[in-house]
Amino acid sequence: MILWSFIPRVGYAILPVLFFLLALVLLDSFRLVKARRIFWAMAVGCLSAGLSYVANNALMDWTGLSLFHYAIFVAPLVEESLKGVYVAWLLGSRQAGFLVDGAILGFATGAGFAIVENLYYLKELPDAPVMIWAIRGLGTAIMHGGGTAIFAIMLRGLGENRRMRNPLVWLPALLAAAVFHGAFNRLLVFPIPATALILVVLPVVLRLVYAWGERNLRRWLGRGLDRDTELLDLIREGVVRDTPVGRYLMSLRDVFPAAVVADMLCLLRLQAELSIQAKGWLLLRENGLEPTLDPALGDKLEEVRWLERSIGRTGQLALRPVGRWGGRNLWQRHLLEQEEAATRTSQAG
Amino acid sequence: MFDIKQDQTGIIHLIGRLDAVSAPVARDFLLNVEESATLDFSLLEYISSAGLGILAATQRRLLDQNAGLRLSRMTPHILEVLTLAGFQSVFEFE
Repeated sequence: MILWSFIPRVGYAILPVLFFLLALVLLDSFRLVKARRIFWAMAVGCLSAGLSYVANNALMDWTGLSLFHYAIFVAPLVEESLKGVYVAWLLGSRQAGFLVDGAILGFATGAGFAIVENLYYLKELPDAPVMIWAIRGLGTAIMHGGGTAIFAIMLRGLGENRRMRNPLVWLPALLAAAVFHGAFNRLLVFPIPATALILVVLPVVLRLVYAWGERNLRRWLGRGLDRDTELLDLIREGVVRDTPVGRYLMSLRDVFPAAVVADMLCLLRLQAELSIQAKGWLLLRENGLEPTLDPALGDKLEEVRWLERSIGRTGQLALRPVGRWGGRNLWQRHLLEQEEAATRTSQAG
Repeated sequence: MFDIKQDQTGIIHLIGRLDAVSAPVARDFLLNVEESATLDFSLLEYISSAGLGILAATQRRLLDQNAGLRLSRMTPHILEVLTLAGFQSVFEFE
């Protein structure tokens, strides 16, 4: 009897945020995020909920603020920071490269946080009316996902041309997420309007961000693919020497041994090949087609690592102006490595 | 300059440069293809991402109708690009 009354509460508390996350994943035409990465983001979100519990208890004692004021002014900063660390790492290491995958992974981290938080409250308040769980599940849980998604979107957007380590990039994103979170907590004195508001506003905002992000991705994909194809053609035809890239490489002969410059050219060619491969996959996936893995992909990735070691850190820095793995393009390498590892694992299994 | 036309045997010939400017011409032509067809690339000098996108979208539509495109007589460079981009696993190459 008790179990039957408990099940709807768990359902209301947990399922809406998971459905919302599923909708975000399904709306991603390029299928940028793998299930395993979403699982890890949720697991990190669960962990950050535990850390937030400890931190909030300690800080509430230390600040002496009332629960109401603490929930509006301090808890959002603490919780958004702890959820945001992992998302910032994903974006900074280019394991998430675009607004869309950033938003999905941000939302997944927030969803993990919300699930633990709601399970905690279910344990603490087992007799609370079903309406409370509907509001927590539809409002608070989605707010947690949305807050971290906003953090990821802003960090991605603001960090486009700056280094992620720069606090000037971090701070506005963190403040935006905390203000969103704090405002929701403040409005919770009117729980039904607050929940209704978040259910109307957040999907619209995320849909707009998706549309904008996918348009940028398409533009990057098109331009990048054409540039890579052109470079590959020049290298293959042996006329790269007459291009700005070739002249730049020739100028490096004064600084680096000839063998290293030759490896640089090999690296450029391999990078162009892998870049075409990654972008070709995205293009096919956008159209609902699933390409199979190039059997030589593992060897090519290994060769890239070997060439990078051969060229050395200084050589890689010198190659940066013409290389293909700087900035957002580094994300492509993670995509290929991830695909290769997943295929290897499934073959081994 | 780009042209696309179908001969009496049903083979579709792509001629010239299939880039962002000429892509709408190819898209409009291929939208009328309702069954499996062979695309002859022997006179195609260049294909950009816009062209690749049209090929992928056409293939998706035809696969839903249990049909598909066969890509034939590609120049070595176009063959290399299509192979690298993973097209050989979703298209039939001749």
